[in-house]
Amino acid sequence: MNCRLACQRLLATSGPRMLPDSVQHHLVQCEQCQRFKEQLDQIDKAVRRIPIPDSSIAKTAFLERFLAEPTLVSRQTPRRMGWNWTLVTATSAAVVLLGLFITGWLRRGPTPAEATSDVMLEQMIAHQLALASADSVNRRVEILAQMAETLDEYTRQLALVAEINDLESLSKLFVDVLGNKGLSGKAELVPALNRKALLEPIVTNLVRMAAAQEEMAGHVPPNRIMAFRRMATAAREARDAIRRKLQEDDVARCSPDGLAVLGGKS
Amino acid sequence: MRWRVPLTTVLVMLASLAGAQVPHRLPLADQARVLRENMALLQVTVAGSLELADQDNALDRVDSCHRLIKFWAREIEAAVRQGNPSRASEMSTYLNKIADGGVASNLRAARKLIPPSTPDERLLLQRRDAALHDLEVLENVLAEFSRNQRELRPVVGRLQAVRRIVAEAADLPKP
Repeated sequence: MNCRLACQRLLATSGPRMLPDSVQHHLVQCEQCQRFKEQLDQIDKAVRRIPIPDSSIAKTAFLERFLAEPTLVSRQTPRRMGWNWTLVTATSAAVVLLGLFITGWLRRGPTPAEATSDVMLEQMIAHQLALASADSVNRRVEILAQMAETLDEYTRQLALVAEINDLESLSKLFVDVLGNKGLSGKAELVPALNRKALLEPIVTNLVRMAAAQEEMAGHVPPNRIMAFRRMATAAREARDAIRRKLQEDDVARCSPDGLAVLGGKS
Repeated sequence: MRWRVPLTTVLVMLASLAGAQVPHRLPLADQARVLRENMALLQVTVAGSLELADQDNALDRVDSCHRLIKFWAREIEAAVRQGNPSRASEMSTYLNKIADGGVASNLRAARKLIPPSTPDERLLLQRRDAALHDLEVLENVLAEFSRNQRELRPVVGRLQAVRRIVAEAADLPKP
């Protein structure tokens, strides 16, 4: 008998341990196994002392419920049970089909949801409608910045799958939106009072877009690079134009009559 | 047990509805195909947007949006004539949005500023009528084709509804 076997026997023997003679003989000689047995004895004693929560109420309730259920079941014939499950399955199937129908109906029927098949066009129309009711230059600048983001996102998304002509066209639209008739031009008109708060986040976004487009230019086939380079250049130019305007504000703020230039606010 | 079936029903219905609300994004290859089909529309939309960004006058915006409606109407008519009611339906959704959110909303904005019996009011009503005329022409075309293309019937209904909105947009506010 070695220690490993002795320990295995000790673990396998529960309650008032009736250990085989060979194990008892080993225990007399081995201090290590004696300590192991003492620890097991302590565990046995401790387990008995662990308080057990009073489960009588829950047990009674469970038993009542448990005993009550067979009464209900016993009223049903096996045939009735089978029919019930069939009904449940049929109801579930009908519900799933109804759900699919609703989904399909909402998506495929001639409803507004159908328009989402061209998500980019829908988003651009949403921007257009926002511009149709935008009363302030600030709002227009915000919307134009969003338009640029939409174009940037989709152009990069379709970088490898769109036809090259379409990619070129998208990049030109991006340039238009950021150009003098678009964001850069309108940013000039933002009242000095709001300029910094409105334009700084846009500058940050332009920096991010230019970096993403440059990165994309490094990953697309050679005939697609130009579109992304064009976009990155436009983003940088718009960024620089807006930054120049913001720097002019900083200079004006530092000049003696700066407060007047900036509408009385520093 | 009794509550499980109705609960499942409600959950599935809600899940279906929630699923339906998620914008339906096409696979990339299909997006590229759709982009090819819609590139001209996208270009017009961007050009129209830049024009709108330049306009402070509500009547000018009505004019810009009316031009866009004409363009969309041509697209819808082309789709219908090519026997593509699904595309016509999609295009009409955009047209309705522009008619409502572009033409009608700016007519209402202009109406608030223009006193009755003034030259400006005449201009306002002229622009409304011009937009209404084009919507009506399109409606007639769609109604004619809807005899054979049943999918167009709800499109005609929605177009009629938006035409009424445009028609009422230039009315004087009721006291």
